[in-house]
Amino acid sequence: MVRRLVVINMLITLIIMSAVTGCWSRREIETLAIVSGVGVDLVEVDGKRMYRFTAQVVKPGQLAGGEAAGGRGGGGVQKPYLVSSTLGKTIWEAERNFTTQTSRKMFLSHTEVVVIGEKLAREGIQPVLEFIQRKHDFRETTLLLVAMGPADTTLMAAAGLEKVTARDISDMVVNTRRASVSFPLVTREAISMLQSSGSQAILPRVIHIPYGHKGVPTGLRLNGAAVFKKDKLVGWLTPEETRGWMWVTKRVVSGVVPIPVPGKPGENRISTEISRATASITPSIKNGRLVIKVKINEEGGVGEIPAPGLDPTEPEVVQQMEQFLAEAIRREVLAALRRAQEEYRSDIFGFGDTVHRAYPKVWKKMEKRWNEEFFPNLEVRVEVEASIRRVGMSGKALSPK
Amino acid sequence: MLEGGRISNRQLIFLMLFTVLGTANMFLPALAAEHAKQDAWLSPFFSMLEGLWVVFIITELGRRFPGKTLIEYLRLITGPVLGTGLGCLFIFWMIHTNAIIIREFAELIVTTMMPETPIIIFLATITFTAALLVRAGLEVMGRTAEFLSPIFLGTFVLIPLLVGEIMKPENLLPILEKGIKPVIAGGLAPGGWFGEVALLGMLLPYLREPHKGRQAVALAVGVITVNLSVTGFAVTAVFGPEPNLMFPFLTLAQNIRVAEFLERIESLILVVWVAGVAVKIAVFYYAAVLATAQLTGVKDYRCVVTPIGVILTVLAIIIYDNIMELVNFVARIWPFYGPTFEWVIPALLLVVAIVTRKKSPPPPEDPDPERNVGTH
Amino acid sequence: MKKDGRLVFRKLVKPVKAAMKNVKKQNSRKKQELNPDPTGIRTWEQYELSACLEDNLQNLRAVFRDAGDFFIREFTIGTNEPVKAAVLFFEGLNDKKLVVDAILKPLILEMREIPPELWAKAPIRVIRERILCSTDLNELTEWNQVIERVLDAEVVLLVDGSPVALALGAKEWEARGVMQPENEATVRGPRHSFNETLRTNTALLRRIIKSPLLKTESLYIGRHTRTHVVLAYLERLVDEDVLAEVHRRLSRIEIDGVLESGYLEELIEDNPYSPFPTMEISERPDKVAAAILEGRIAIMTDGTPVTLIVPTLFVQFLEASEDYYLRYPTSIIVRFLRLLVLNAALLLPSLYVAVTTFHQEMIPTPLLISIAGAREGTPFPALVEALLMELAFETLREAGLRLPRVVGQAVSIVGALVIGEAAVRAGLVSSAMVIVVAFTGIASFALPSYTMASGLRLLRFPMIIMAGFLGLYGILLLSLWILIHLMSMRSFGVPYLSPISPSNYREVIRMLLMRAPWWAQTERPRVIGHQDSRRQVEGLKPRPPKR
Repeated sequence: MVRRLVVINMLITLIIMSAVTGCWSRREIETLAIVSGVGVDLVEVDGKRMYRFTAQVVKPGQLAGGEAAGGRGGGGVQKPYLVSSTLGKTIWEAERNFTTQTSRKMFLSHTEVVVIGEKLAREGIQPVLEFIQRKHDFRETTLLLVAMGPADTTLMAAAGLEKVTARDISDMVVNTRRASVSFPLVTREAISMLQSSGSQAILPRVIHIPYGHKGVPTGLRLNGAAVFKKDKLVGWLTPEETRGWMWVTKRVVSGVVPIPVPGKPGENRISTEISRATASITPSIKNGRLVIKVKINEEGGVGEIPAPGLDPTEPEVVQQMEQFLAEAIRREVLAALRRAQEEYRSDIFGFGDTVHRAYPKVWKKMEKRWNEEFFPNLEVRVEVEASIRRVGMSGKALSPK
Repeated sequence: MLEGGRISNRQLIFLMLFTVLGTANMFLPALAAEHAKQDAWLSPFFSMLEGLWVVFIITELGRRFPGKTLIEYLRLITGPVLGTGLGCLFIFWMIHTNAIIIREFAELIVTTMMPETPIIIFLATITFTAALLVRAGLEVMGRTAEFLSPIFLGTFVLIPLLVGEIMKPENLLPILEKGIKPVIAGGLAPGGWFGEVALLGMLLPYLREPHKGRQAVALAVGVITVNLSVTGFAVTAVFGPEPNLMFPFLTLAQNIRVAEFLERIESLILVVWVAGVAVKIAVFYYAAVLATAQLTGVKDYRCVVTPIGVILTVLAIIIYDNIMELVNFVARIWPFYGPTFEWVIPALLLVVAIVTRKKSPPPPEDPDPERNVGTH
Repeated sequence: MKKDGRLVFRKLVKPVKAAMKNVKKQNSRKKQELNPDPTGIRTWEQYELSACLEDNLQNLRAVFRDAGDFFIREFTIGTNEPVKAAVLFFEGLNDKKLVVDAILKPLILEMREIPPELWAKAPIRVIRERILCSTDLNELTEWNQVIERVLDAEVVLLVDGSPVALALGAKEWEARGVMQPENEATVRGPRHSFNETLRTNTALLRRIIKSPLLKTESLYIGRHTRTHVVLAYLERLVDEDVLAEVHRRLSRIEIDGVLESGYLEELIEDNPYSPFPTMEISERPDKVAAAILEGRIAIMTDGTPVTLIVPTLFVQFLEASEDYYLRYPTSIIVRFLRLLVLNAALLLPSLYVAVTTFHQEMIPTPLLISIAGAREGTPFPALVEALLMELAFETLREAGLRLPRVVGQAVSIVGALVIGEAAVRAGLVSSAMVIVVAFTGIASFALPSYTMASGLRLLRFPMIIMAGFLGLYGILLLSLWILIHLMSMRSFGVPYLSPISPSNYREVIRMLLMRAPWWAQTERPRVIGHQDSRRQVEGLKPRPPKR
């Protein structure tokens, strides 16, 4: 009996304790500001360096559109989200200052993208990654992007097909894989790139074009990449160069590569679609010289052929197209290589890692001076093997008569 | 006899599995990676040796003194005075270690799941749960372990599978870059964990087939090794050689993303893990309770449960000021502190017993208590 | 010390008075020692019947004074020398026609054919062997027997001059017929159920199991009601230890009355504090027969169709008898469904509370947004909302249960449509919560066992509270506590969670996860039918004829 009393007492104490001390970690779902996108900038305010934390918060009442939302029949169409920026001496402080502007508690677990402003990126992204990694509610699967210009305007851009800009961006990141001019990169990958001495970080780039001119459409654009050295932004890659980098790092999923028309030099280009691509990087040491061999295998199909009467099934034409295709890919890779080696001196390809794995002892000597001395002068042999597998629904190219 | 229940060998395997894996899975990958870098997955195989060594010594002692627990033959070997002193030390070790485990557990929950909740809640509730298990007796503990093990092990197999997509096996290269030494160093800290199977010394007499105990626990050690190795492999393959994480396994779970909706399941995994920890704490708790009861000679060990539970909770609160101290202790002092009790003293006991030729006769057979009618 | 009937009249009445006095005394005492025999029947054991009819009748009138339904019909036996006789019975419990045809008519009218010398020698024997046409006939010599028989609805015949009474079984009263089972309906399978008459019930059982090994032991429990309880089991199959334990537990019961098997259940169960039932109940003869064939014991109580089955394992509450009649692939899927339903009935609302108030990161973003949208403007925290809705649901269920069927349906319509819909529209509760609570309710009804479902419903409330304070951790804690409790439970010595734990993986698959096809069910459950583990021969799997 006494035993049972002890148990009951403990239970009662527990219940009372929990009732008295209140809610602790409890947070009602409707008191949360569900953040879907975050932008971090570095700004100068009154001569002081401050972090600017921009959050895009969804308004569930308007998004859900249920009966309880009461949004139906309302007059003006409100945006279903709120973009709000706060300042602070640290990122965390800026994030917490959010409470001075809104009624709800910031909830970061559902953040889909983190956009880093250009200025901050040039100063170093270590604080941002540190913030994301240490904070328990942030996900390591959050996508990272670098904005050309400030990050907040990117989040303020009007949403496209999706209801919320951040969602738009994150879906775009996935979607661009069809063109392979940009790539999804989650925080985890960025962190491990940053931590490795044999590879440098590279992040996808987002551009916000507020005003259009000369036929360039306005809105958000996702292409190109930001090249880092250690954690500092050193420059950009163009979309073509980005794909060049992606070929080497096996990130190409699909995309269109225009090639010249066999036998008819000129402006017209045949488009080929990438259907499969693989690559291998093998370092070797010959006569004391380190050589990296990059071998790319690509398979593709033919898109439109602006050369009337050309028969894409003819073996010679196919052979020539394959040659052009390989050449086009090679050019992209070389462009990226040149940029990284000569201009930025940043081993974004991770060649250092491959050397590390293959020749640990050699690597030990090179590690310290890799980016400055060895990588820029590295001999990289690029071999591309392209094959065209399919020609689409029609035979000979359309010929008007 | 104090304990009326009996456990099967399979239940013993699972109990030992929980005893080691309960916390090892969460804390070890980080410790092993600290030294061994990309070879962290090899480290457990070195710790395994220590585990097997402990199993050998304890079962050898068990063979010499069938039907007796560690505390009982301790006094037979070293005499009543020294034996009681050593017994008190062992009890202290069990309670102290258990307090550390409880604190580790609570710190993890507070850090990852509920940062605003006072830590005492977790300390008290998990100790209470373990107390219920202990009070229910060894048989219920064994069966609970048996019941939970598919869920527990299943989770810890499933996670590495689910992150398979984002693994980069090349992260594991080059193998043994800096030689074997860092790998062994990485295996040293887990060694203390593996040595926790020394609690077998308190459970061996209650096995249904005590002579097969060695086999069973050796198998448990093997499974633990494989499990830790797989975890180490997955962590390195996903995060690279320097994961730099407090709880790599949890972060691993954070990175799961299957079919757009099976994501962010680390809370669920934590919950499964909590069940395992509860069993682990209960095993330590039980050992301490049984040891105390045998040392003091009380008739029913249940009357010791509540006092020890209170001591555990209080000790867990005051033992460390912050999590850094805890991590430091576990990484620096534990590798020496643990093995002292896990095999150094038992090995000495064994030597003394062999030299002085002390043995005890086998206990009388008792009927299978699994089906005892009339437990009113 | 047996005494002559004439002398004992006063003494006979005494015990009754003494017993009543005793009761008064006991009530005044603090520590109660119950009088085991308040009616005084046991004290009459020492007295024999008198040979004088007048004395006997006087005694009986004293015993049954103020009992308006007690009848004594005096008559004269139609022999050459008239002998006085009397039949005693309680009105309404006997077949009156039978009494007239089988007792009165022959005794009054047909006695002349009996040779007088036979009659003179042993009148009672003559009556028993030559005159009374009844299948159920017993000779009584003691007072307590007479009183018990009369109370047990038999007709007792007293003849002047002989100290022996005859008891005739002519029980018949207004009773419900064998009808369809109300609570355990099936699509396929027998459609009759037990009723309130124990004899009918044992007969139904006997009709299924035509084996001499089927034993039906009788017990009488209840100091006043003397309820007839039957233990039915198959000899050689039943575990003797369990049987002895059932006997032991039933025999220690000292209670005024047993009106339903629920009394017995609570008096003999292993874990009186547990919300989980340790005895299966059924009103289906086929289900009870199946249990007996597995080696279990059925405890049948007079006055209720509900039969207790012991020992019972946890997994059996997930089985319905129909599982074994429908084709096995269907049953397997249904089993899995029930496992899900079991968890849903216990955990769903608390999971919802935990996830929406603690672990919002677990919800997929679109779902999170719609739940947040639905909850905007609702006044209560999720915890309170869940408790309120569960209470409302329980109220509706209870109301629907007690009302006549027609009104009951109206209640459910009002409850489900009007209250639910209106509450959501008014913004009092969120629609997500209504969905969760409604599904949980349905889930708890989908469990085949009503008692198990009630236990789970009971646990749902603490579960919600734990979830509201500690989130998933709280749910896990309480689940662990429940698990530990279940692990330490036994049903008549058999571990309750068997075969899950102590585990027997083959049986887990065969009993819990699957319903093995009949040709594969070669063995009985190990912990129960281990006396004779084979149920059928191997190789019953049907196959096409060989050519």
